[in-house]
Amino acid sequence: MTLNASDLVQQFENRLRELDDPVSGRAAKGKPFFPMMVARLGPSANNACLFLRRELSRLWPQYRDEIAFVSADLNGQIPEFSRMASNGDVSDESVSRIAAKLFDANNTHFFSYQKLLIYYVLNTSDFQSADDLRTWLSVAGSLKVATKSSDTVMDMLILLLNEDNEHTEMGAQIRETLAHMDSDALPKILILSNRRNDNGIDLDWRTCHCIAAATIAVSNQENSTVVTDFFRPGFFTVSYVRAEKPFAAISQLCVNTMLEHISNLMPEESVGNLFQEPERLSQRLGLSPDATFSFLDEYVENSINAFIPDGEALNEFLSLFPIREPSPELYAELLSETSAKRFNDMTFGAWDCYLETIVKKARDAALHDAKGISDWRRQYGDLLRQEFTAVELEYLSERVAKIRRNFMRPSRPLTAEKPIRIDAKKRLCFLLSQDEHVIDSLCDEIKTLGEQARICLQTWDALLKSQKNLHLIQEEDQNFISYYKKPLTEYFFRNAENLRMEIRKILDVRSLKLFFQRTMDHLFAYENLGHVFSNSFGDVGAVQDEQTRRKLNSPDIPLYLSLNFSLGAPVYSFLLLKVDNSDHKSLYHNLKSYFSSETFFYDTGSDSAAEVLNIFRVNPDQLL
Amino acid sequence: MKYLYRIGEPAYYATNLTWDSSRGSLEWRSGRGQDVLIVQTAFGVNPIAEMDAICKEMEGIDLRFSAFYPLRPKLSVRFVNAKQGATGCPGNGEACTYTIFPCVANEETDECVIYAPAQEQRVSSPVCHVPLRVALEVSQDMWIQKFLWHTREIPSGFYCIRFITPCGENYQDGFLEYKIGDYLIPITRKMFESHAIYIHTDIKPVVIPRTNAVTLIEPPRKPPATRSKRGF
Repeated sequence: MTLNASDLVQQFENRLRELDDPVSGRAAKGKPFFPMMVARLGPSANNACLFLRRELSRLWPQYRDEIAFVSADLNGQIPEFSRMASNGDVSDESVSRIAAKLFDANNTHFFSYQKLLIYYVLNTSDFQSADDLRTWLSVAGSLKVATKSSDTVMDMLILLLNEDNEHTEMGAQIRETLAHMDSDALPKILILSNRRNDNGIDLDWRTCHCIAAATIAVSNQENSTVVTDFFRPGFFTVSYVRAEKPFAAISQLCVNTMLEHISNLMPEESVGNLFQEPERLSQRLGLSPDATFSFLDEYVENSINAFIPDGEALNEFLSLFPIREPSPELYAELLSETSAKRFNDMTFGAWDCYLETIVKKARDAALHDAKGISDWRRQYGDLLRQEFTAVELEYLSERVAKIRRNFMRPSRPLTAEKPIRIDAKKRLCFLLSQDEHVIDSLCDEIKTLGEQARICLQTWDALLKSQKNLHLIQEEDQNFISYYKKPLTEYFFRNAENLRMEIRKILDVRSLKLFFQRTMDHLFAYENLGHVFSNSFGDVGAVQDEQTRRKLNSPDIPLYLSLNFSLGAPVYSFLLLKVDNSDHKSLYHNLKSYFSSETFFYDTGSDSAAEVLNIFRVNPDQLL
Repeated sequence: MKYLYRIGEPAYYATNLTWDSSRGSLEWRSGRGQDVLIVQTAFGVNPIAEMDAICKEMEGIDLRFSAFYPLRPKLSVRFVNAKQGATGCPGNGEACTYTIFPCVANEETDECVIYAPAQEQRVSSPVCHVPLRVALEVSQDMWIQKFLWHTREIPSGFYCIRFITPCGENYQDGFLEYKIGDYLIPITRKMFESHAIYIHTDIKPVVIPRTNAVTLIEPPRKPPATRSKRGF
């Protein structure tokens, strides 16, 4: 169980991004116009389809269950299709049935049922030869036929072409195969290579998956000309850039600030004097002045006491012990009023032996019953957790032998001179708490907690050191530092006392992790911070807008296909962002004048990101 | 002397450890001229898993001419060299377990190698559990009531437990208990030492061993009826 600064930054970033989910009302204004199906061709495209499902659900939450996801696999040479449910289940529902449900006008909400759009997703990473492309195209053809709606289908293959260093040769073979195909006999093929024209590699396909999602979004719209053009056969590729709120940098800033404040709140502890006050230490370790542990006293009260009767029955019971010098006078008096020590002497030591025997039986029963002993240890652990800090527990666990000596009280308790009716139960408590095996198990608990505390302290140190491994916040992002840092500092200043108390309770790595989760929960719920975190990136300041504009309007937007020749003008250009005409400060308002009138604006409903998607036609010979 | 525990070798063996209750002695079978180490533990406790620790504790102690040496509570050891008696030695009481190990002492190197016993077999075992055999008698205590012309015995209100055999060295308080109703009262060494105890009850106590370390046996002969002075 490790924890480092980048983990925390990632957690923080995930939370920031969650603010951008549909629950926050940031769904797209545009809706899928026609019924649509996303088909995963082979297991290599699994991740892509998972991403597409997530992203399309975010974009069009109302259509979460109306967009069909189908998996296509090969059993030998025979294609097999199944529905991929949103919960990950796979059902054998026939493709025609799936298609029929898409056209179910009573239960779906598409604007038009004139067409069925099918997006095949194919990743070439596992290709054994370029012929695999033909095989999967044939599978796509079979799927189209299986819908039994072929005449209404418009289909597009999103080809995730792996051209990283390990797949260069296979990539070239696939390009050559494509170049020699008759593109008119194929669906439209959108080629997304993970090697960009600037030689950068999208190794984890993250950007290519975003492009695929953006392409699907803009291609299923009410403008029928655009849709028809989009699905026209041929090879296409895209240039793409995404400008988004600097989630990572904001998260890093917040986590750094959080760690800085929390480390200042860490108590500076001196543990060297713990043993200088043995009585105080014993008390903190749970040992009462009678040398017993309260939770074991409770056990005696509930479980063992039954072996010693109360009231008159106690006298009858005591009279069953053999008396050394029996006399009528002795039996006439109440034996329960005899001192425990005297009664023990009178009974050949049988009284002590009796108490020791019943305690031993109870102890053995508890020690041999995993639940019994774990219950004792849990109760003792709870007590230690309330009383000691991680530093103290680590220190104590290294001195268990000394603590053990501190626990053990060789003498009988003073109550031995008191009447049996008073002494007996106290004596049972004493015997159980002073039992060597019981003390050993309690010492084991101290060791266990001490070890957990040691790992926790090491993890904390490592966490602070791991901050050095984080990348510096880029210069262009630094303008938001004061925007976030000020309310953060205010939060930690106001909540210092609560945090200090919580920090004292951090005794293991699990509680350390929970502490950070809780602190993040509070940060996001804090009134002065919640809205700061949920603000759009344009709100951070005008400088941010300018940077975003330059990024989106750059002439060097990377093309996701490396080609030797220029592709000329794009067939279509899209700008995907939150289209908000009412707000003159919105990013849309600031950007629209910089883009040509031929640019289509697509309303994603999200003001945390803006994407530029330019679609280019690729001639087959350009692939060679 | 330094003691080393090693895996058993067929050339060195000592087994078939038995207890002669009439003489209170141990007997075994071993190779010719084979020295042995006998480890006495609490009844039913097997020392084999602890032999490395036991060897360390024995270090520096010359056990060759001593009787059983108390190494720690409830664990004693005795070295018997081949010349001392080869196939037997006096025991150290009952209510315990004895285990025998073949060993080879080397005077020159001041080392004694103790070999693990061969796998325990049903017929021939290096382990001998010796329960304490206790004979006792439980009887109702009577006292004599005198009338003008005759006497009669009437219950005194006590039961007597008379201990006929001694408890030996290894008896621990509570090994035996007597049961009256739902209560189990422990029998202590001091009770054995007093030869008889009197219990104020009309119900006959039933004596029960709490452990296998003690076995109740029939008294050797029927003792005369109790005539107590303790009744009142």
